[in-house]
Amino acid sequence: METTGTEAQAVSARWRSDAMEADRRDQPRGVARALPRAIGRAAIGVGLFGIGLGLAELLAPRRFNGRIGVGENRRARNVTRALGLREIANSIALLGRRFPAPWLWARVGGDIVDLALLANATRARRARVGRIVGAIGAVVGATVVDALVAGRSSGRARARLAGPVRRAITIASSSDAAYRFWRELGNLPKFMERIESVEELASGRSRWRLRAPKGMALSWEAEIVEDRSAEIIRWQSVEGSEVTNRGAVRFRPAPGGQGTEIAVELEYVPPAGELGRLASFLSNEALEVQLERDLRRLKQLLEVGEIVRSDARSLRERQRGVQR
Amino acid sequence: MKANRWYGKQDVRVETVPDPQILNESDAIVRVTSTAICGSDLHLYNGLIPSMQKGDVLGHEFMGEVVEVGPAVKKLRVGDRVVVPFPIACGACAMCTRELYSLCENSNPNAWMAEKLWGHSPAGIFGYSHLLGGFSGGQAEFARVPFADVGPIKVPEGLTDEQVLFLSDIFPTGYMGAEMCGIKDGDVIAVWGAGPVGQFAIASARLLGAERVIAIDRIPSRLALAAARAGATDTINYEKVNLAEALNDLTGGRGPDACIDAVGTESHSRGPTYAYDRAKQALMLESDRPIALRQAIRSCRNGGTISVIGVYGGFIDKFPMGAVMNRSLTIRTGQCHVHRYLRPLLERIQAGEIDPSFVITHHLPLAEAPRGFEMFLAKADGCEKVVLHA
Repeated sequence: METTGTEAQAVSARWRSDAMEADRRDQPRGVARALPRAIGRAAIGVGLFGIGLGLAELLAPRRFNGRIGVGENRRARNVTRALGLREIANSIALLGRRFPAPWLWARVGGDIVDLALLANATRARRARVGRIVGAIGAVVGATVVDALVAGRSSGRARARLAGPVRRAITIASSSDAAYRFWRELGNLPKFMERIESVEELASGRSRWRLRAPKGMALSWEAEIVEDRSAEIIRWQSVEGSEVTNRGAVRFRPAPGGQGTEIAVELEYVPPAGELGRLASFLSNEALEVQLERDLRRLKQLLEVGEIVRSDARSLRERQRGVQR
Repeated sequence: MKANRWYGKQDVRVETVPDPQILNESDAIVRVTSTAICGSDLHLYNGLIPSMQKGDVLGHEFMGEVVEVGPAVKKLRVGDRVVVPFPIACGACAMCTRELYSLCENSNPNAWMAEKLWGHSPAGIFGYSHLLGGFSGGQAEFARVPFADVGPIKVPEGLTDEQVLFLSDIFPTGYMGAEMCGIKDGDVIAVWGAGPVGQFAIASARLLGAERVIAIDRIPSRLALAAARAGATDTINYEKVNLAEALNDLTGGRGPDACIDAVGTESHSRGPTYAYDRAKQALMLESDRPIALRQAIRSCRNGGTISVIGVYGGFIDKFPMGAVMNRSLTIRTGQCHVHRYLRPLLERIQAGEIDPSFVITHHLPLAEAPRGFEMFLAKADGCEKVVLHA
């Protein structure tokens, strides 16, 4: 068993690039690594609690207000109903998200609104102050829980934004042919939608131009730092580039003669720091989708010789053409 | 050209759109002569399939005459009369090589969207949402057909449109549903849904040697058609009798050897489960209503097979996994791999073993497609299958 474990580790280490391994060393281990899952569960708990509370407010506002000691009148009932709707909408939104941090922070904001409303309610004539104080205590507790979960969730989102993006695809082609196609850097814009051009320079470096939105022309020089035929190409932008980035593509034969498994890792440091990344098309979530689309296009090129176009896309292009 | 476009829930309109163009070298353009409204089009019509956009051209059952071919097309010529399979397949990837054409790895340009929903992406489909490629459909005067050498089958002289049109989807889909049952001599097969796909599942089960086929529906005209034309030996109207009891009576208490779900996501019943599933759908806690599927699982004999050809889109609730596991049931399913059935089923039609036109109840001009959708949804006027003529 010992041997298998070591072998598996060795394969896995070879499969990932060393540069990316270095990042992983900085990441938390043990308990800390189990934390994201616990946060995910906590967010689900918060969401389900919110739906329950929201339904109670929405469907039985009179009893609800009675329980928390708020004076009984039509306006109070309507406010409670509205709060119930807010609670349900927020809970559904955060349950549906992989990264619920913004919705969790919205909850904290909602809790503060609730506290203000409750404080105000103590001044009403028929208010039962003892019950309202109890309710305020409960909301303070909920606020603490919401803020804790939100804070941890934000941390997780940040960790995700910072890491490299990975994607793999299996293509019916030999490792050698796939490697040669990729190593001819001028081929890359054929399947990378965001890359306008890659020009090989005399220095052995290459100049990459990004197809950026709204005239934000971005380009950088990159050098290949590792290159083994039919196995790996690893590159990174040279010092002082406008867009700092690095990447690696690995090729290995797929089992059962199914062709080649191609695995890509990409990492960008956006021009304007974390904020820029969040705002820009370089966000990791967008980058992940882009990489997936690009690898699909590479597969189409190598397997059927052209990139399949859908009518929808061509219609959009034509409409844009008309507008120009 | 004129085309039938989706605009929202129960809102389709025939309008003028730009003619399709050759976009890939292996494309062909087909002048549509006949096209049909499919039961799965009703899921789009009812707004149950995500990622539709206003103006999308519908239709995935169509045939016609080739009027233009791309430079890479070798087998098709201008003037050929062809039927086009509804899944789009490249013929070169690992899935196509295994004849799993509806799982083609290269034909869905929006594969990433499907991956978000389903984990991995199936093939692109004509006129069936952007999740499945955003390809324009065949309820139009012309249609663009990618991978023209892989999909379309040439129609021999002497066969009418009505006889071969359903090779595009519902005949192979029903046939695959019966094939997945692994029918042996003496088998009893129960088919939920006597819509067009159900009719072909019934007919195919007979072609494949089932001794008895039980049709289950609530529309008397559909059950009558199943008995008179598709070859059902027994019919059950679940609104008139207790379905579970009736199935036990018909099978000596064993249950059917295999059950085919030809209903899918918009299942209907009279019991409280219907209200339950409608409520969960309204609250967006489940996307599909698997009432027929639950019934099929409960009533199937021990060790039997559940064959699912009705379309599901997302998530179902209260799935009786305990019955599946403890009673050794097998579930088989999939969008039909139409390409692999085209030739053998065309031969069965030529040999006179089946005439698929028996399901057609209405012929309409393309311009009246919206009326066709209304009628088909309401099952009004005995509507079983609407064929549109461009």
